[in-house]
Amino acid sequence: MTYEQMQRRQLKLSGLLAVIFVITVFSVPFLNAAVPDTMLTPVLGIPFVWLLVGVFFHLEFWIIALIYVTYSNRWEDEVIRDGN
Amino acid sequence: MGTEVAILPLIAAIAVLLLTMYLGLSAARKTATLDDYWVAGRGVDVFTNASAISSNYLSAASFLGVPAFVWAHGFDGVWYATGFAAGYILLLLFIASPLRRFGEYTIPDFCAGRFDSARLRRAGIAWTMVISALYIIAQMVGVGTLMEVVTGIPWMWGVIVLGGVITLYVAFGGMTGVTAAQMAQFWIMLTAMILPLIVLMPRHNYSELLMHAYNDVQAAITQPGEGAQTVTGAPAFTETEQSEFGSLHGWVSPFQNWDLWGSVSLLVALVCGTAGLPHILARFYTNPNAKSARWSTVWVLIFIGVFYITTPIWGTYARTVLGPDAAVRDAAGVANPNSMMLVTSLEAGEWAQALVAAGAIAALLSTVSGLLIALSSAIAHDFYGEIFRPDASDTQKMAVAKIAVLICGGLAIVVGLAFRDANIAWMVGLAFAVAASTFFPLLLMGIWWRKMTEQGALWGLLVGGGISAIIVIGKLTGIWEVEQPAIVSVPAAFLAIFVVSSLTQSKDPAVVERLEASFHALHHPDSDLPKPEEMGFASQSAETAEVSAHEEVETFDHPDRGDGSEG
Repeated sequence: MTYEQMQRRQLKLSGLLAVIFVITVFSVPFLNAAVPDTMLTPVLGIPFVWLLVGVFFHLEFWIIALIYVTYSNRWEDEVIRDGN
Repeated sequence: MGTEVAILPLIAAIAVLLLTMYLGLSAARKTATLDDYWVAGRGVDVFTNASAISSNYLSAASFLGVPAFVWAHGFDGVWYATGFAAGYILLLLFIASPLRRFGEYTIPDFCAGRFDSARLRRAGIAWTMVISALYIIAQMVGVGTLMEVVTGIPWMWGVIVLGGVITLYVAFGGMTGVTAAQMAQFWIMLTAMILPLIVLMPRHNYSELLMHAYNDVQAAITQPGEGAQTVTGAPAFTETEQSEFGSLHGWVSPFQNWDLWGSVSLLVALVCGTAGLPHILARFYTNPNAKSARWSTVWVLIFIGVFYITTPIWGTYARTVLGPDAAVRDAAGVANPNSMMLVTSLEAGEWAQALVAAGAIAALLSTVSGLLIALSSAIAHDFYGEIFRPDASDTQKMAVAKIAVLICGGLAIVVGLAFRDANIAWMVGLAFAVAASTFFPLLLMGIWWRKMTEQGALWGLLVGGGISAIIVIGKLTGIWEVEQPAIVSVPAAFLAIFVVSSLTQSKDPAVVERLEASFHALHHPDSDLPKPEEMGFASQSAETAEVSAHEEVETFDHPDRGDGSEG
């Protein structure tokens, strides 16, 4: 892989993960305003929005972080290995 | 807790102070070079740096303030907790590893090196000082309040004693000492958040408590006038709070403290601001390379994620079990939210209260020490070492660094004493908003847009910072009610950078080549490889590979670097 290819791939991956992050996190206030009762429906014994924001978002952050680091590091290793 | 001194929390606070002094000052022996002093020799491993970054980030505002915010405002506090953690995503995806790969010591270094601009270094120094000063003054006020609550000593002496301790160990231990202390402080904090909950949760689990609050709306309808009750049957709110929430169900619902746009703007400030805080960004320079900077950020997300997941549990326990009695109140009935964690932890036993006191002190020490490094590096490294006396010897620079820490610490104490009645949460929020509006757009676009120019960067700082200032001044003078400038100032800064950079593209091949070289140094993995002399040229094949790898990288000569350190 060349350096330029790696850079494009990294930016594309970062952009994709950032869009997922922004849409999921920033949609919550709007959903809270649009469908407040639904967002408060108990799920697993906890009002849904508390579970979503207080727990599930952290899991999402960890998954996003692991995906990004795994692929970025792999691509950089390929660039170094190929001497590009 | 009250004006009386509780012995166990006092002992715990003193123990944390002594441990911190020991760790910070014992590192003084290992602080021989400027690299050791400002970036801990760039040898901090992933686990240690992740712990230290987490500790640096989690101030008393997170440790005491966020659980208390949940207790006071319900769901909006949960939003706060997650917003703080979310900030690290953009930092990881776009900034952490290129910034580390670029090398250097400070954010003004990045400004100067990326655009080959002394003007940008000066602008970087100014904004670093504004952001860090806002943050550190708020922390100093918190220091006094916390010491008063925990140990009973007068507010002024709390600021002087704790501020003095921090200043001393930072001055002599530098970043190496701060790193050792911050790592220990983080684990004290996390233990203090989790252990008492392990004792409390079997009594009333989280689901039971939240559903009690959720179902309380039915009780409020069927028994009008009774008011919301805790699980023990006591009133859940004061009369004032009762009129605000109506029922515990109201406390569970969003938008009790902010409206829709307030929530969005707060999130913009927290997410973008985290990625622009100089005292946090500086810690990434302490990793050995870009990969370890990435992994450090992943572990930070996990560490602070676990921390912030516990904060709504604390707030919910306090509201639904203790109600309004979860905080100390003054004669006028006004609650001191900083006392909530200490009062609530007593439910698990005096040991838990002592642990929470230790965690709170650790939270303050760690954040203030990181801020002191950021402030003093802007003066000693960026101003003295790069602008005023670039030809000074390392010994002179080291002496100035220590003097700068002592001066900054002393000033922070004096100004903190003068700002006793300052709104701490507002000042910290403002620091986030300014960081989000200035350094975040500059870093994000400077790292990823090769056509960004020096003029674009300068206008981005001016527009983002200027709009933040205008909105804040408008709020203070009562012209408008907008509290959070980030939702306007952040997009405006990005737009300014884009427009001005597009209009000021240079056609000079030398300038284009230089910008391209600095861009390359941010992204090419070769930049992570050690220099040939550091490899010792163990074999001919290694020599050939390394020389090849460095031919490109060394085309970029950092304009302000005279020590030959790795880029």
